[in-house]
Amino acid sequence: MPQSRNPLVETKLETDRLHVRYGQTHALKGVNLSVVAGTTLAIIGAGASGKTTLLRCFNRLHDLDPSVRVEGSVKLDGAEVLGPRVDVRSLRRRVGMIFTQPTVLPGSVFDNVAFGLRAKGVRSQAELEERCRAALQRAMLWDRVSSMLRNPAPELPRELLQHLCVARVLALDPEVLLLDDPTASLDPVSGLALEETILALRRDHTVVLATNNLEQAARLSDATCYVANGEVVETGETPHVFNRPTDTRTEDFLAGRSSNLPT
Amino acid sequence: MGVALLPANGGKAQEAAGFFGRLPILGACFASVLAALIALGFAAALIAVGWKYVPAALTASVPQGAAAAIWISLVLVVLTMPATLAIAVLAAACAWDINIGGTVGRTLRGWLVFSTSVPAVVVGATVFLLCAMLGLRVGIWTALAAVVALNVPRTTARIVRMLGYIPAQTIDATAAAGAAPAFAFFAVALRTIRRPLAALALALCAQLLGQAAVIVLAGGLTGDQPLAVQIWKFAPDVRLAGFQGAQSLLLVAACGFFVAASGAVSSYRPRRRISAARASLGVGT
Repeated sequence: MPQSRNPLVETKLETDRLHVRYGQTHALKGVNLSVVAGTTLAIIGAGASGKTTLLRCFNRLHDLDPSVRVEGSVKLDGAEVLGPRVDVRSLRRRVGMIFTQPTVLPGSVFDNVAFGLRAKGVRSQAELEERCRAALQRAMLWDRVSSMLRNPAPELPRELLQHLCVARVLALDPEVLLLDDPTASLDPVSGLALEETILALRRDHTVVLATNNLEQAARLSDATCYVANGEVVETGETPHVFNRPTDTRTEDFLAGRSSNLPT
Repeated sequence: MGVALLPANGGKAQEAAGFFGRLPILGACFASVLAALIALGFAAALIAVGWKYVPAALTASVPQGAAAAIWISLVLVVLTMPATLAIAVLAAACAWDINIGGTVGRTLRGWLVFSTSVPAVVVGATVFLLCAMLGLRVGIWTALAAVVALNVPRTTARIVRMLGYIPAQTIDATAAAGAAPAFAFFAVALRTIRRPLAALALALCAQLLGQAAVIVLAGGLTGDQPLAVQIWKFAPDVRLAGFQGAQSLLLVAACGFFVAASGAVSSYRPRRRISAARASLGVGT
């Protein structure tokens, strides 16, 4: 349960000596990281450096793959989330996730937004409609889809699908948002539109954003964490990391030098 | 400017390599033509023998009219298909997602590999023996149970294969939304494969129509017989060749109807309304 060490700087998410292995591959090597409540942390790093793997630890999505071994500690509001008695479904409702590729579920636009609520057991149609409307408004999608809620979701234009995924997550009113390079599959204009949504959501949520887009990390985040080869190289306030990195590997990465490509 | 010249016998070697390279293609063409000829031969023989007896076969009273036999066959299909499909869907859920099936699912997955190769006669005999051991009367219900038992493994294996095509991202998205595996299976996975599943159900109807051996073995049926059983039983009687041909034609037609319907369902693509949706949103194409 929440353990406020400092009422002004409360840690929302925390990892301690976190190791993840996919078979023989050691994907995360003793990651120690903390995310302050109400802030946005950007995780940057080269491809296959462990960004997505780290995100999937926060909502225990690795549980879906029996070949993945996770060791160490992950805490949400000071409570361990990797324990065997943790209600994983409840955890995933508190820690929502948006993936790189927009994933539309079968059914209508409304069905997609209401999916998590129905899975939670909400049956009242009035409540479903009210919460879906609120989620679509917060995802900045309501004005564009309010007249086509019963239309099949896959018929929406591609640039709106990621907004729909955001609405699906927001309908559950999560405390934390995990964003796994959410604009990577979008064109620049749509990407910027989604960024606007993320900027608005930052006010009410703790956000962890894994991205390959350095400008996006600089625009959206309060703090930045650079990950290379499964290790956290440097963490700090975003302006500090981008302007005065303390580690040469961070400097090389930001300058586009290939000193720390995945091994 | 240097020009690489082929050795004198290079052309012949290339020709030989080309000929041998084309051999598998020629073999495949030959096999296809042969298969088509055999199928056409069978069809021609059936039509030649049975075509003119079709009206008589439909209304005959001895051994039994084909119309009544088709009716019994359809009743059998109606009774067994939903049961087979329901059991197979549940078994497939267990085998597909270990979070639903756990150890049972893992065992089931291994069992499916072998069970699809169990001959019909073994399934029929097993049901028959089980009934005998339990002191149950062998009859229509044992026949139905045998038919279901025979078809469940293959149907399950096919559904598991269909489920394998569901993208991992979809599974991730349902789990990330806090859905229980069973909820995700019924709300998303089954809806995703609903069209191939419907096609499978229709193909299963065709398969069930043609199954005779297991019903004969486990059913001990008296009175009206399904069409496939009737053909099977009276096949050795040369005097009824015309009737047999006509009845076989009718059975093939009935199976063909279901197979065609299955094909139509699986290849059906609903008219996409993306352009209309984009237009209403004011989005360029």
